[in-house]
Amino acid sequence: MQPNEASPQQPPIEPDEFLLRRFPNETGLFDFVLGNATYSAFLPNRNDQDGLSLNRETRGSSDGFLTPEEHLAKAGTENFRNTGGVAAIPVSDVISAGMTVVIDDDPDSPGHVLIPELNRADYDAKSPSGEKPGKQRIKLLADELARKATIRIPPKPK
Amino acid sequence: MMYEFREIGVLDTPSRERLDDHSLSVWLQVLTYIADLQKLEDDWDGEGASRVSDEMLISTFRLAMALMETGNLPPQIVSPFPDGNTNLEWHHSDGTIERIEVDGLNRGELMVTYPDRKRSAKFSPLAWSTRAIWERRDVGMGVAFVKTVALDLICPNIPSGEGLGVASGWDNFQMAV
Repeated sequence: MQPNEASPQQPPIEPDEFLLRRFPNETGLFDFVLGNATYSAFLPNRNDQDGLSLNRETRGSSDGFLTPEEHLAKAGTENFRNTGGVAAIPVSDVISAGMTVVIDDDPDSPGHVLIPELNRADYDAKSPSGEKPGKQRIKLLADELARKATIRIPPKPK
Repeated sequence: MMYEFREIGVLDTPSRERLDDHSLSVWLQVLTYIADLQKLEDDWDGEGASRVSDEMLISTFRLAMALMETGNLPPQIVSPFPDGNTNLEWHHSDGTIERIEVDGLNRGELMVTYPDRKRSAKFSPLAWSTRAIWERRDVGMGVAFVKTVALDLICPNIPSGEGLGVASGWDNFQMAV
């Protein structure tokens, strides 16, 4: 799937849409003073081999996408579902930071998209000298997302 | 490639005494947060994240102790990474963010980012003991260390002369530390 290309399940992505990213309520993933998700929440996890996983936020019931509450309800563990948070990022900010958003149809996750530049395979890849240039690049992009993100659902304090 | 190791600027007047009571109190909270990281189990994010290993915990503690003992302000954020590394963050009022990722025993990487993209981000490898932190800087061929009193205390076997020492590599330096 190419950036901004429609799919059988999804219309093309518009720059004024928001993308949702959920994060668990663990130490340091949310700044309770500033009210922001930290950049650790935007680093690719083991399930993000092809890119950072997000969902398009619904702009009305007709699009079939998820509300932040529905997005959080699809988290993998009960604790995550009950106490985790959801951040939102404008597509326009993702694009202006040099990243792309690609539709990744998943019948269990309406409006599922990937940011391929933030993939775990590059994050883990080592050069022959042992350095991780992909990881540095991804950390910088995650920093950009964290600076632009707003919070839809704050995690519950422990 | 030549590297120069220098104390990072915040360490040039090593003294915990310059921290006020509030900062010391926050540092104690930070140490608690670091200790809390050991409670994380594999898959703590429900997405396959790795637990924080004992080695990484010890390394993070040593870093925190070195920063505190040398009079640095405490970080605002202590966080785990999905790969089991740890991260300390300092958010400055001008939007600059300094982060240290701990990625091994007594070693890590400093990343500094700015609110506007006109200024390039900075990455620097770091090594530390509980007494000092060292930043690697590329300066040409080979590997060099700036000799300091602190380095003498921690790492007496690193050859040195005229304030500048040469050793066989960053990995050896980290092992010595």
